[in-house]
Amino acid sequence: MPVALHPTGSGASRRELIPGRAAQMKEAEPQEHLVIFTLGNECYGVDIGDVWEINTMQEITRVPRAPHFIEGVINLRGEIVPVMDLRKRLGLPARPADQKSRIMVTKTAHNRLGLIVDSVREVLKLPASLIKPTAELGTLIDESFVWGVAHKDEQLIVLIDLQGLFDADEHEALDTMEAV
Amino acid sequence: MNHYDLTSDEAEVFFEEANELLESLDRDLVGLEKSGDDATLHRIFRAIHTLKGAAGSVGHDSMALLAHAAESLLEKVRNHESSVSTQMANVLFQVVENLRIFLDDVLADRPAQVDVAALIEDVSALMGMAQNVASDVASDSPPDQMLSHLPTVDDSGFVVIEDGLKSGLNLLVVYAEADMTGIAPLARLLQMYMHLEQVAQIIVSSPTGDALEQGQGAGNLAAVVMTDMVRSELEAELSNIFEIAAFQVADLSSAPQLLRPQEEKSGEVLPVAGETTETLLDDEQIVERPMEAAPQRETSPALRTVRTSVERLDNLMNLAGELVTNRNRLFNIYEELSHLLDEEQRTSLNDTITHMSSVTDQIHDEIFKARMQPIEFIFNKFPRFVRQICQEMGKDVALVVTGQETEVDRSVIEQIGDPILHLVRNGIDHGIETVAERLAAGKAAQGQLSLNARSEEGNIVVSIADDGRGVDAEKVKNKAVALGLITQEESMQLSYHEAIDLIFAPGLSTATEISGISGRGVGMDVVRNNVQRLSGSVVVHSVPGQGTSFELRLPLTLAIIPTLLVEVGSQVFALPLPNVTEIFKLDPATIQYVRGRETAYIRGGVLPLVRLAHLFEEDMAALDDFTERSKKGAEKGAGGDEAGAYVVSLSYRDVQMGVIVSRPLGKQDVVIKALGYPINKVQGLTGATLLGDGRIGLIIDISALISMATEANAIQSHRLAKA
Amino acid sequence: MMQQKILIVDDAKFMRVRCARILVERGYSVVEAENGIQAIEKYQNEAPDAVLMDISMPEMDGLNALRAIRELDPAARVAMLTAMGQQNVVIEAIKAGARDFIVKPFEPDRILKSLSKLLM
Repeated sequence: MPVALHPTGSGASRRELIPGRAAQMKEAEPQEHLVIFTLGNECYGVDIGDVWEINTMQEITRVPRAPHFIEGVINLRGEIVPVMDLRKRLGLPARPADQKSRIMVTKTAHNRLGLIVDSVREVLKLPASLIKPTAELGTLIDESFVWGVAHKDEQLIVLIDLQGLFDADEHEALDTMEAV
Repeated sequence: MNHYDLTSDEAEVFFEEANELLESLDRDLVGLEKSGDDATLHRIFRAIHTLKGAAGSVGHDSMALLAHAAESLLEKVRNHESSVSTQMANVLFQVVENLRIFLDDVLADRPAQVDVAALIEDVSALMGMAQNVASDVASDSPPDQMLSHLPTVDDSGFVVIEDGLKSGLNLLVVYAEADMTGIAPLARLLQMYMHLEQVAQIIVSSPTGDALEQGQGAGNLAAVVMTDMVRSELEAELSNIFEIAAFQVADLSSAPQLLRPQEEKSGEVLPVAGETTETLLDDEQIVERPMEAAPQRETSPALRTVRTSVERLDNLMNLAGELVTNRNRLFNIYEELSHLLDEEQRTSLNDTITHMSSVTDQIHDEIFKARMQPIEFIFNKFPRFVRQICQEMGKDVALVVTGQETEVDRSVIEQIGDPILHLVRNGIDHGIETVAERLAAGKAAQGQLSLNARSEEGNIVVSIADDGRGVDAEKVKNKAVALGLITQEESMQLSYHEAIDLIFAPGLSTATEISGISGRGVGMDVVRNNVQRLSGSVVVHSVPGQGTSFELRLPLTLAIIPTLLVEVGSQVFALPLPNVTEIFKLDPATIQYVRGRETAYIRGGVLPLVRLAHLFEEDMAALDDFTERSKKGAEKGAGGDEAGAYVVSLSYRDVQMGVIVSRPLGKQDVVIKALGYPINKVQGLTGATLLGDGRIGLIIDISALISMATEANAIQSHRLAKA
Repeated sequence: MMQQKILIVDDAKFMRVRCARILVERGYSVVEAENGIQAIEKYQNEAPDAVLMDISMPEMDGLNALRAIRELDPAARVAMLTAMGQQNVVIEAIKAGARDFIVKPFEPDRILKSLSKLLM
């Protein structure tokens, strides 16, 4: 799924593409409000608007015959919420949960969905000028869901389009259903 | 009976006559196009007029509006201001077609299914006038939900109203409910209020605009306004606002007295739409009907019975479900805490919980009852359906309906209609012979189709039986062989019952012809699949030459199910109780291996066993591995994990199967919750439920479980055979 | 039919990118602004058919920008985007003439429906 980063030729968006310090001198630098989490050594960011809440690990009820990247369901204050292992979904090697593991609860078009991540590092406001389009750098994960990358304090942050990821799952599910 | 004002007593007369009128309209419209004589025209006019009155009195506004528009058009024709064109005849046919759909709405007790605004416009265009017909019929009678929220207007307000009416303005009442799941519901109502301010003069509103601006209010808005807009214009104007759960506009220009404070209203007869209801509905019936206690004759029926939306009932049902869950949780907590309490505290807490528990049950039952409807809502449409399908197919069939008073939850009413319809069609189409064939076979010329409903062990059972030719097992077998569903050898070994059950196999029964009456036909496999998806079943019995009967079985509700909770390892599963026949402790010594599968011998019978945990694994290697381990375990005698194991014996249709579980936890009614995207379509599970201790129990779909077990068995046997 | 032009105002680039993608796919043309001041500027220069605007932004927030735009053009069709459902803020926005408010994160359909109502 191609992500049109800059569908218009407006001057504003073209300027954002130019990396550098010029933007920092501006007073009102546009900001990306991100939740930064880790999977292995890589740092990822998702739009804070997509994140409902962040929880420590809790008991997960396994659901037989679910897709392999679904760990099961949790009871989120009376609501039954499916939980996805983001590592498995993105094709990274699996790893057992530990003290630092978190369930990041997000919202899909249908219901809430928890994502297991290795750790949640911080909530960050990132100047938009630091964000580059994906093509410039390689990353471990499927690039169709990466809409940009940024460097901050020597650390590479990969920005993920969660809704795009869910949409893709859904289309796949629909395709399989139609094929049956 | 939620959407329409019609009791079951009235319903029969209502539908019978309405159907006759629609049929006569069909005939007469054909005649009108050909000759257009006055007598035909007059009959059409009367029929439409009568239907309009009936629609108005049961409260189907769209139906009344459409009939009214058609009536106005016919009036023009009668007065020779218009003449009958092909175009007009076409439009009138469309009107009749839509009236028929509306009638089905009333029959199924569902909201209007089609939007006829465009058609009404067509009709108006034919009249050569842009008059808005929408505003005048509905003017007399505000929709019922609104009646209970009518704001009252004081004397000074009435001065404004009277002045406004004199200068030709309309008196409209707006009632809106915000969608409380939206993010800022009151802001939506404020938005509506501000919009009203722009296009109308607000006489009174509840809550006031100031209150709304301060975020006060209970989620609904009722306002009385004067405006030069007609009802439909204002409706269109306000329909632009999002997250409004429901809203209505009524024209009270001719009935401002409804806005007087309550005590002044008594003594007046509320206007009822449709001034002449003809013989369709006797006025006396309407007024007397819902009363048990002595009524004040003058008050409107709407004030004595309350209509509520399906959504609201569903919400109440969910809330009651939460109560049940929490009640159970409370019992658990009590048990955990009781050793900390002294005798008096314990007694008092126990009494309170017990009382609360009984109240919870009663609330649950009452809401459940409120959702129950007699199945006659579905059955009622069959006399007409059978008559018409017989006409199409040139057959003569008498329909015998029994048990129509059997009540089921509305979740079932919504789902059961289509399967019955297909089975009835099937019975007439494939079951009952032509008159000539029947006479040749020495049967009565007229065939009989019986439709019966009864409730049985938490299920509704509907049987559809014909006295036709029965199912030809040889024909079915040949077709199954031709389709490659079974081999010739297999077909030889099938019993009659097994053979005729093949009609449910995919591709075997072809869809019956597309009919103008009830949409498309589907194959029997689709019928069975749909029924099984609802935790139901459908079976066929047949005697060659004597007839065929189908038995359709569905739970009384699809919202809450009684289950047996069991533990498998640390995980809890809920098994639908109607399928549970027996629970017993597993004695490893009784386990035998039949074709590599575990089987228990109990009381001389054979019960194939499955293990939930392993059945759900798609990886067959795991199953093999498991089989090896448990074989060894069995050989050693007392196998470790078998020590505390139980078998729950399940039956589904003719299949018996035992599920090995760690231990049973007890019976519990559970509220079905969806698993949610992306696991809402997982095979073998109906959903999940929250348990008293906060854990999640997965609800097993028995029909899918059994077919999974059969599949696994087939693969397993295949592998063993190869080995 | 002429392409309808939508002004998207949000300080978060991602929101703009997401919105723009949804709209461009449906044949709208899109103009973007990062804050209230730019929004007013773009509104005057580009004369968009409708505006989708975030409420909380640096420089000039969405509410003030909304008021300013409505002053320039009392018929302006503006829907507000909000990440938080603070009723009083939303009520302020409605009072200032916003025709709709959409909660973030939103589904594409919600935006498209809102626009089609705005543009009616």
